[in-house]
Amino acid sequence: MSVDGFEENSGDHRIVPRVLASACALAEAHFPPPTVAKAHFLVSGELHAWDRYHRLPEEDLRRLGRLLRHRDNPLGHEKTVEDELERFINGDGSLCQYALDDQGRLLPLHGMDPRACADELLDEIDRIRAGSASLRPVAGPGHYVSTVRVPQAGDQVPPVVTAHLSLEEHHTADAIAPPRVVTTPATEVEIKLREIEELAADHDRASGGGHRVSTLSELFQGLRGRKATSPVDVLQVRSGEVSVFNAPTGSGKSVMMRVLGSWAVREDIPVALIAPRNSNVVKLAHEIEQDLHGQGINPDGLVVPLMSPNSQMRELQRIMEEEPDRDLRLWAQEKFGYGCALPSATSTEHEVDTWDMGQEPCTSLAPAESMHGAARRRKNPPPAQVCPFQVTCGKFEQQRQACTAKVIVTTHANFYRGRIHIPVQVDDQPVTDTLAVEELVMRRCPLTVVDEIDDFQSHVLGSEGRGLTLAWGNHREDRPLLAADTEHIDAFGRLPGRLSQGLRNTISSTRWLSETYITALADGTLGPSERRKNRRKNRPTEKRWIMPQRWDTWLATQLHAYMADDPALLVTSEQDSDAYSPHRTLFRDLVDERKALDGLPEHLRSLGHLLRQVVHPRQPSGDTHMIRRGIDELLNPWVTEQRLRAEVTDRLLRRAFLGPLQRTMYQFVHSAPAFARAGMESVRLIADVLGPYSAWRAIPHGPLGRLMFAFTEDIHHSRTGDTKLSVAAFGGDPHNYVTTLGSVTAYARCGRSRAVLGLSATAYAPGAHRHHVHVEPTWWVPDQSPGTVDVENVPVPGPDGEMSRVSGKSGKARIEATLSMGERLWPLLRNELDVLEQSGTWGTQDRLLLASTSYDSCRHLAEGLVRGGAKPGSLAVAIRPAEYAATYGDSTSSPEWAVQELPGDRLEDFPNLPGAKILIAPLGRAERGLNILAPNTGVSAIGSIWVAIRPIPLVDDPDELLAFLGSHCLADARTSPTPWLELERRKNVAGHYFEELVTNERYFRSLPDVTKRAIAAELVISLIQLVGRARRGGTPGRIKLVDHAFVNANGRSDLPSLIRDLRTEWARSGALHLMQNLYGTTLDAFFSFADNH
Amino acid sequence: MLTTLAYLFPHSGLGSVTAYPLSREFSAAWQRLPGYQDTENGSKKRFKRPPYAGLASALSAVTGQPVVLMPDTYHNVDIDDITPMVAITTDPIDPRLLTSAVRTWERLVRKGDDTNTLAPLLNEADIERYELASFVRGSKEGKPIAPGWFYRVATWSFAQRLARKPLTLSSGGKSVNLAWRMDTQGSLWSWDLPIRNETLRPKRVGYAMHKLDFRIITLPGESQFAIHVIPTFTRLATHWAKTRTVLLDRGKQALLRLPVGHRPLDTPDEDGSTWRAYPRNFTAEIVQECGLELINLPSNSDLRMLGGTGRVLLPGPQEYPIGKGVGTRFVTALSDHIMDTVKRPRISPVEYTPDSKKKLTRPVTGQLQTKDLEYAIHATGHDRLRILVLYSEGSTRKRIIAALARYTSSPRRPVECTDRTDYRLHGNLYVHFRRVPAIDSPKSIAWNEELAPLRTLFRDDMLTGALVETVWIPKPTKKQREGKTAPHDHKRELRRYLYNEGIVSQFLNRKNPPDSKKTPHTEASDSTTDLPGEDKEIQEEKDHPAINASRDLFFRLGAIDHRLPAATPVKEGAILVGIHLRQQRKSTRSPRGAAQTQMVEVLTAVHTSTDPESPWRTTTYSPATNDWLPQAEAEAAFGRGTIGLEGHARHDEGARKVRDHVEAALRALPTARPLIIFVDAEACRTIWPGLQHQALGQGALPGDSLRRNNRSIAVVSVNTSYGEVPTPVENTARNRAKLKRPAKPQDYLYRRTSSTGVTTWYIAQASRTYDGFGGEGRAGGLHTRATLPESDRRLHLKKDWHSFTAVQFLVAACGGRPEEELATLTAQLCHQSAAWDWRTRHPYPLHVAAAVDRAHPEYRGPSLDEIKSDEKSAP
Repeated sequence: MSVDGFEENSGDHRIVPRVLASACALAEAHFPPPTVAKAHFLVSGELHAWDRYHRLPEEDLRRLGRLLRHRDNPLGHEKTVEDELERFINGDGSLCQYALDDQGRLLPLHGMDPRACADELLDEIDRIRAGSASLRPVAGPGHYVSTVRVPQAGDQVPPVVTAHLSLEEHHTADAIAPPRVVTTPATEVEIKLREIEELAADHDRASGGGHRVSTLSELFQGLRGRKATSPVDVLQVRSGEVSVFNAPTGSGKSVMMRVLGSWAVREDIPVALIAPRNSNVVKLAHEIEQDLHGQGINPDGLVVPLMSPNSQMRELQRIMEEEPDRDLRLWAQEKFGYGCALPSATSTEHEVDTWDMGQEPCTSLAPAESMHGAARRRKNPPPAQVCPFQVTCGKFEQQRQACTAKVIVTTHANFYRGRIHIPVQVDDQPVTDTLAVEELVMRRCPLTVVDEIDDFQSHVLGSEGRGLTLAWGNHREDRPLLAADTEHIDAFGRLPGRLSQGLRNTISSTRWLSETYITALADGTLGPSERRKNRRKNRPTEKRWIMPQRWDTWLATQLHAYMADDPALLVTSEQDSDAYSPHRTLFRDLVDERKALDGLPEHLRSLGHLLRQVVHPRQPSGDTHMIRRGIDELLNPWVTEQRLRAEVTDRLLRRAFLGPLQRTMYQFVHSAPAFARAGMESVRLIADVLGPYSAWRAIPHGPLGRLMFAFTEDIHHSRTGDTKLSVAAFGGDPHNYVTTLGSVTAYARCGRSRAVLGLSATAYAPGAHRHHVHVEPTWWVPDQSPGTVDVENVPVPGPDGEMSRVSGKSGKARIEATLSMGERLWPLLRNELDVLEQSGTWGTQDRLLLASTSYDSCRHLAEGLVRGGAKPGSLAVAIRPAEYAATYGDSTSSPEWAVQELPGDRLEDFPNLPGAKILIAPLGRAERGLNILAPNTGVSAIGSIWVAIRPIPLVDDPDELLAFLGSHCLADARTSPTPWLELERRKNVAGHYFEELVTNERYFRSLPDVTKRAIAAELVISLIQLVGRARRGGTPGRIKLVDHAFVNANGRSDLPSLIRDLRTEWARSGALHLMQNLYGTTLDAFFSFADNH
Repeated sequence: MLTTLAYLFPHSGLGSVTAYPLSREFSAAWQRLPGYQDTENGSKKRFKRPPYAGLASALSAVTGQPVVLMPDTYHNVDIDDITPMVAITTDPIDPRLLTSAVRTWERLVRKGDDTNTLAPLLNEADIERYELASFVRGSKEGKPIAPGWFYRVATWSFAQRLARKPLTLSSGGKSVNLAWRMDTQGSLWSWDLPIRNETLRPKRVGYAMHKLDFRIITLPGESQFAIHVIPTFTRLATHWAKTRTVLLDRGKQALLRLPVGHRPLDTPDEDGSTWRAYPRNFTAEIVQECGLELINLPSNSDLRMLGGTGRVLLPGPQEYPIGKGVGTRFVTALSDHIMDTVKRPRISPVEYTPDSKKKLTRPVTGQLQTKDLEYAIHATGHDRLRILVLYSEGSTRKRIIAALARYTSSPRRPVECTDRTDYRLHGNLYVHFRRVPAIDSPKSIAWNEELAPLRTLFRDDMLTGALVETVWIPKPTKKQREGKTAPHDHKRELRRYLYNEGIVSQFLNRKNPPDSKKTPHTEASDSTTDLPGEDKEIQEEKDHPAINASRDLFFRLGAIDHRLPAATPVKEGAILVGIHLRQQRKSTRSPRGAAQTQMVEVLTAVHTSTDPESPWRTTTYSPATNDWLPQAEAEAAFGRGTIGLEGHARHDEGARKVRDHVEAALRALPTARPLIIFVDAEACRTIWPGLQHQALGQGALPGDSLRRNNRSIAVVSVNTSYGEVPTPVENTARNRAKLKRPAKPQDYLYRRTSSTGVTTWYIAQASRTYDGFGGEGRAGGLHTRATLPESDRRLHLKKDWHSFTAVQFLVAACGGRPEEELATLTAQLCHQSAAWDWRTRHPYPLHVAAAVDRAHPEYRGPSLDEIKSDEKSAP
């Protein structure tokens, strides 16, 4: 399917033909004779599927990297490549190097060595880009408008006010040459463990503590390598494929990260350390600086905690509020504090105390003149202008330093999505202000260390599979389109004409389509037909995926007689879909509302007319129903079976709605940057969801081969007001992205391969769709301390005498079940606390972690526990960080009778809450990177972990779906000399699996086995991480599973049998041995749990 | 050494049986019979089957030998090599009789349609004879098991052999021979020597016979089955009303034992009775059809005279001129007789030997001592204790005052206190009197309104227990019934109301004032403010009911002193858990309610302590909160709700639910302490197969899910079943010749180790009645019912004669402790009871759990919902 707005986005129209031509040339060089499929393979970025890729000469690798660098995301789609080649070769002739025959073969016409030809073309592109490169202009004196957000308590959307700025002549900063980023040469990185230990010893001496050396030597002693058995004394981090270092939680990975910082300074190798969260970044950077101080080295400019300038202030505020370490607070203030010069020049419509910190309009100053005169008639909107103080502003100091620092410490999110906001010069290329953090890191650092690499993969998955509510009955909340509409009205006249027009068109057509659609759903005009009676039995709600194109073949088959206009072909019952139906193309034209009616055969026009009318906003209101009847009458002679006809009509209508709706989605994706610049908050939200797909990725599309949109509709038969239509987008290939970061992405970003070292406790678990990194660990520390992990099932009886289960329930029943579970759980927790108090030394391991699935359920559990007799003061409930802001301050003096609250991102403070004994937190928040330590010790404060509710990821969530597909396709992936065929195979596998996932009944037990296993593997990973919370400092970890759903053997979806299946599967694939090496103790605990239930 | 009435019996001596194999054709024909749905258990429908029990009875009747039809094959035994069977009996049945009986039965089942499909097939079949021993499996491992029918027929040859010789009884110079007659179920009767007795007030006559029942039992870890002989003294009805079983004498043949039903008559018969009894299940018709004779049931006047050919068994407990029980002397004589008579194959009596020379101890007896009060109140989990006395009649108040006086500083003088105030008896013990005239109301009372003023008392932090006067007349007079002035039994409603307020209660029956005074009720009830005379000394004679009522109340409140810790040291602060299970009918009123059962589950935990200063606390599990509550609170919580858990049952899914429930409860106990779990063997073994003798050490046991991380969890199975635990005969350690009576078992823990090395523990005792009450129950030691001297007949024959009883313990899991330690602990927990001066049948935790169950207002009664709905309709 071709993508609208493609040319618009790719900048210069000269680039795409050249990119394609060089792809053809490289295909000719590597896989003669060249074909479209081969050329597509090269631009798809999935180079790792090619068996020779890693053995290619460096020259070729760089050339391929350059090709990818210039290739925009849409070209990752095979059909697009095909269409564009056709267009450029046979159409406008802008691609003259190749001719295309009708078998998809490319005939070279350039008469050169294909490599030289490609080089020439790529050079040309470089020149074109250099010529057209432009920076955002710096605002000169004059009047400007911008929108600013006003900070607001709670998680409400902050109100936006328009700010008018007047810049005077003297509002300029000193001219400073942009910082220069120098690409370091490619080197192999060798980390000698002895050196690391020595460094650690030095730090210990300097700081007077002694735990680093002992921790590290213990860690290194247990170290095993993929090649050498033992001992490992050098970590040789090869560039290219990611190297994974797997060690149990609490074994000293973070100490190693810290020492690696000063090691990098000493070895003079720039290193990037990628940590999960901002708080980790701050802490790590500060620690490294302390170490350097201890060595007598002035760390200024050597270590940079890099985070998005926009969140810097927020992080600083957090540190000032909660970090107990005074040194750290002072240090952070120095690092992150800045003052904005703009407010002095600003007047706002309403009285505004302060701007939302970090949300200053640094790069979005719109000239106020654009409202008048010539500017309005300009075709292009005037670009937003940059604050004149930006080059010296403290807000961007870290970004400036990052260009030269030896140690860059940043977060997963910033690494993956961050940009350098200031203009920088990269090598000898022109100055740019759109440098991605990823590129900066790739260029500068021969070694990138990713902490929690499996979590990084999961994070990437989360940002590549996203969803958006399009219309939702009579609800006003969570309707970004509605908000966008309102804001667009507010911005009337402020936006440049063309942008405004584009926005209005996109927003209103999307709204109109989706709202008309749900109206039709709610009143039954559209709806699951009555034909399959069993589907509606006992199901008050129906939620399902709709992919409109999926029905094309089926519809074309059922309408066979009609399309052929031949009553002789009439059949009376449903036909199996005929993939080779001669009418498929015709059918597509019929339903495509952009195709003119005149282009259709005479006998189809009346249906075509009806289908076009239904999405026509000017039809008389309420006519969907009439049109449905019209279609029904029209098809009456052609599809005689009444129920089948109803189904056909229904699907035709849906197809008619969703096709155009899908196209508006692409508009959002491609216009996202422009919309984001419009300064409208809700448009920004939409752009945030759909926008990432427009950011350049080396591998833009995963196994599905294209960016996909799918719709979900929720129909509540009893509550029409809840009818909902949402859209989900899937793109990217996070699994391959992570494993090929140092090769494919690195070559594309900087023309070199890079060493990437991933650290984790759970990076290897074949089958786990989110967290399994698809490469065997290079080094690992076996988890071998038998008996220190214990998994137990402790169901509590519910009020009906059955063991209570929450998972699988929803709505009010779920809340009730959670409350009663909390109530009945209390005696067990009370006993456990008694036992912990008696057995543990004071302060360590005398508390409990009660893990749940959501913040809401945490609150319900707490309520239940209090009902059961728990002292409210002994409970600490995690709440959404955003909600916490509102109550902050009250909780410090919380009275005995109130449940204490703790924001979800600050669970580490739990041991410091006076009297708190039980921490109730969502699993996702509690499972990772969290050190809940007893005060003044390195030992866990958590004695046992109770998992109250079985977490089951919703297959409805786009990121989950993406993860399932990606990991499933990779499970049997192999490299191949004909990689385009391998891609085709993966695409097929993905297609089948996708079909299976989205069409199944929406119950856990009806999912495909492989999916259930994946979910179980994830759960195991999650529990291994979770038990790590209790094992920190070498203490034993006990996991208690409360929800009866964990072991309820109905439908073979209980955890024990899934774990047994997993074991069989791992044994079959040969992974079991390594798994047992990696997670021996914990895994054995799970196996014995599985065998005993 | 202690001998018993159980005998290990070599399999070779089991004899042989005749079997009619089940052919495919017969099976097909059988399935075509019109079935009827005899029961429906909840939603689980049993397959339909024809009422063939009648055919079996009839065949027994016509052949004079026991017959088992369609024996079920026991599912645990793999008997592929044995063909399925239609019938099992001792000797082959005369084909003519068989044909005639089966054909008649089929005609009756088909409601008169004489199709005759079965009889020809049955006659064609080749009769086979089997050695019974060939059906036994698992004998080598000490876990013998056999098909279900085996247990019914294996005793036949033993009984037959025993019946050949009469039992000679002699005492006091009198000697009689009891000849035995076998009935069609395999029991032996002393048919020819019925015992007769009559009383003057009321003027009644009664008859009884000795009966011997036989039961195959397994002993843990024993390779051979044992035959347990159960002697009973069966009393005969002198009127047909409500009877269920009749024995018919038909000459030389076996006694025909038949179930009877009753039909209303249109006109009263010659006796003036409007009901007529008839033999159920077509038996009579078949027997008649077989051409033998007419079956005539005796008339009521026959029964009064013991005339006619039939005798009818007394339907239930009632006042009767003859007491129950055969007496210990009879048992001894029987034991000797068995050993004399059955010589081949050699049987060996099951005997128990004392475990050690150390006797079980009972250091403390009697009422709670004043000095121990504080300790006992501490054990309830509360600081202060209030006894709330609800009474209507002054005399009851006086009695209670007298009973409680021992806790005051002047135990010899009655308490002086006013009503409606908390009066401090001692330390933290208070008493609060309230006069509640409504107790005398002949109608049901809305107690929540009546007692509303008391509510403030229930809301303070004092633990309250109620001692309530009750008026109970088991049989109101006709006048009272007609005038509707019969006292209403308020106990259930009042108890339930008090439970709702969280109060446990104990009732004290009003004592009729001595005849001499003849004080009218009204006068007595006026005396609410009338304090007991200061000068009056408390009567010399102890008022045992009042004292025991107060003792029981303390027990219910969990206020127990240190007598248990003193007698039973428990190591490591283990928690003693009692699991009490009982199946109860869901409802007797709602349709099909009687067929639906539910399980009552009470779990009690005694938190022992090694510190002598801290008392043992008793808690009971409350499913509503998934927590173990202090005893009083827990009993109230249990009594508030409906009894029993629906869907819980003894088998299959229901058993799984029980297991889950119990495991969940056990999980809610403090996790770091060892557990010692006591279960009743009979109630629990289908739920936890590990308690079964045939799966010893293999199947599931309670606490399995907690048995991790080396936690010590011991399980002791306590068997009190009369039929299963070998009945003690006498203590042979004493020289028999010197004794008047058979020697009593001593206060030892006895033991027996089986041939495969499994030890069973055993405590045996004479009952309290046997030992006390002026020897009323001891007559059976000197005499037998048949040889009682004429002078003693009037006095002793109407008394119940007690035998020795026994409890058997089996350590199913020792949790790392020595078995002997656990057995001693269990025995000691029975021997030193917490609240009275004799043994309890169950060890303390199990005893408490059962007591909680019994106190439930729905215990063996209509369900609470029904009461509620009744209440709604009441004004």
